Amino acid sequence: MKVNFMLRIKQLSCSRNDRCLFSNLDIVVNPGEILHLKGKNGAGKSSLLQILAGLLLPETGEVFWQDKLIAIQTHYARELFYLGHKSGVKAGLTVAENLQLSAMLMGKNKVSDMLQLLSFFKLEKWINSPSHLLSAGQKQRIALTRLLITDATLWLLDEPFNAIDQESIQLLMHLLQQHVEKGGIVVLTSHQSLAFAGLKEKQWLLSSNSLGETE
Amino acid sequence: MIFLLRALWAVIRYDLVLSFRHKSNWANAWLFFVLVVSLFPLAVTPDIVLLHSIAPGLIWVAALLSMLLSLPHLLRSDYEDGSLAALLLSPYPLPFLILSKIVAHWLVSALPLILISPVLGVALHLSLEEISVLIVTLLLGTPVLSLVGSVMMALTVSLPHQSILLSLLVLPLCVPVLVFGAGAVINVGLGLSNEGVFALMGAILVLAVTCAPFAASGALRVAEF
Repeated sequence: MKVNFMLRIKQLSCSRNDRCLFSNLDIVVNPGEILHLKGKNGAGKSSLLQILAGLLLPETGEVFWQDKLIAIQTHYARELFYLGHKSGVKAGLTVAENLQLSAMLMGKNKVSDMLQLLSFFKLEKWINSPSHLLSAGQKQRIALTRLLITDATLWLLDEPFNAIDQESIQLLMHLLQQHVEKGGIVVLTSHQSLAFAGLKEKQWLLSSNSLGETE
Repeated sequence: MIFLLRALWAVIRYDLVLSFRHKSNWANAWLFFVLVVSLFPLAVTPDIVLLHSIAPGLIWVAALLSMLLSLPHLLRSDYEDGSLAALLLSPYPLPFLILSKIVAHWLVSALPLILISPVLGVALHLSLEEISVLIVTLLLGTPVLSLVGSVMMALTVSLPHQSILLSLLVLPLCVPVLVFGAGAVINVGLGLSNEGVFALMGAILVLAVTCAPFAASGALRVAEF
């Protein structure tokens, strides 16, 4: 079956608390592309990501994955990885327990080599530390380590560079690059400008009145 | 299938681990149960006949209120730290995942109350037969409270001040369980048969188990994250 568009956002409008965030949004994202959503605080970047994840219903409009509506596809959950501004790291569980639980919920086997997994974001020292003792950046790195577990095609990342140090930013950039080179799709929000060397980075500026593509 | 069961087990196990590490969250509700029941004779009267007649109702009301106290622990922290979104986005059916969370919650919020209730029953002069009926009704009734509570919790999870609304929503729906549960124990004293009451409570439980996880998932799907 030939698929025309991997991810297609069609005439999407969203409002929160009676305030229109964006309207009639049309975006197409193809394999190997990174969509970088930009905009002021409260412009609706996070809401758009939640709509793409299926966590929030849009006011009007539709989202298509492989030419089909996301709402009717049960396997869409397997194609999708979402990291919201709440990272989903349980404060009471240790680093290793958090990742085991995530892996199981993502439909994967238990992680067999936890040390190796944690070494990517240099977290191996804290393998058995309760997460509430870790810093914000370390917690964010726990959440990002899930990217190594998932085999989802579509990554939706809300402010993934928040709180993490320069070294981790480089590692994450590298990870994103690998993912799109394999034909994956990344949709992310960030206030930071990203220096993606040789990657198709599409930038969208979200604002309530005007809206457009800035290459 | 085996993956699904493993995931469900993981949800239950890690929820129990979390409860064990945050014992104080739950101890408050357990203590409330024991204190209400044991303070009653001091405040009212140590009269054996009176205590014996109010004991079933007292234990049931205390259990209901104690479970209402611990209900916010069911989904609230998951909502706040974002792991509820992970649950919703899991490829596994949400009602089963919710059911696992309810099972874990029941094991921590209700089972300890049931285990301590024989002691409280003896203190309030219930006979052995009455205590065994009390335990059966608690075993049949408390899961219904957890299940109904989960639906209401799911409906109110994104609201800032949910606890008042939560009690208003949960308590009316739990009245039948309360009436039958306490009534069954009184029936023993009157020499009436309890088969019908057990069957009814069992039917309510089956209804709750089959409907509540789906209702709770539906409510979570429209919740604001």
